Amino acid sequence: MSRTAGKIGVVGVVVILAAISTYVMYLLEWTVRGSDTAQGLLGLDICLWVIFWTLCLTGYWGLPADKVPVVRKSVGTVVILALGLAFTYVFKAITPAIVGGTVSGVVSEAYPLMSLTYIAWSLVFVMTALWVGSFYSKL
Amino acid sequence: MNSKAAERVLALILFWAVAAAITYVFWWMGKMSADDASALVTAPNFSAVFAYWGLFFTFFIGLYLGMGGGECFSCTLEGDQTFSPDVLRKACGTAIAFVGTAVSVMLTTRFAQYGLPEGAFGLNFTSGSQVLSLLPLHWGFVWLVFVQHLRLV
Repeated sequence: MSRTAGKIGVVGVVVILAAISTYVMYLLEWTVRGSDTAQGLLGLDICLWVIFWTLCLTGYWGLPADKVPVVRKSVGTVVILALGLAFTYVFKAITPAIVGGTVSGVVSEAYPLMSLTYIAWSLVFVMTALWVGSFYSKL
Repeated sequence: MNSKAAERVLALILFWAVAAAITYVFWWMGKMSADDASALVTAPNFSAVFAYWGLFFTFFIGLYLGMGGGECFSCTLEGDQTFSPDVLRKACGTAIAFVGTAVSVMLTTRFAQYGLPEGAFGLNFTSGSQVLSLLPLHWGFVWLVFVQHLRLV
């Protein structure tokens, strides 16, 4: 029963974190607004944040579990999100030199996939953490 | 650098080299099109396309095939075995995932008109949209997770 409660709790935390993340993207104006396309992209945004937090909490943190190295995993999560942010900005800066075009101006207009790009890089790093973790089955 | 560490570094390079190659293929397909509006990889989506393909190959090659460590792909051969059962199982899983992805992409573009203009059908890359470059990898994820978690083969 406690195991079931733990799983339900993890699902609840995933949903809450995904909602907060999506809202932050909205506040930062990293999402497209005011068109039919925007609704579809917002749906994709929510879906991908749910995937990210599910991978992070169940895969990287190993929840639900009896013992979790909270400090180490918290630091790791912050590092994953920070690396995602860094790569988002680095690629935003170098993209015009690679494929041409422009990405400057209001983010939600000139770079409409900013939120999806940030999730993409965050997913990359959480997946890489899972891959590295697969070397060490007892971690 | 020991051999295990070298294998992991090579695996990481492989993930991203394949991701770069596929991103280039989609970019090149857009360049071949006479219509600028149908370009598959542009400045606003290049980073996302590259990152999602890198993510896909980290999962597929690293976590499904087990390259670089974890569940070793090629070290299951024992004694006088010619083919590892694990290699065959992974090859079957990969084949199922790739065929499933191809069929899913065709069905979604044909019947749901996903990301394509009215009247377009099938894998019509020349009149597609930027979303099409992300469609195969999302279906690829679905099929790989399906194959892996259901232990289909």
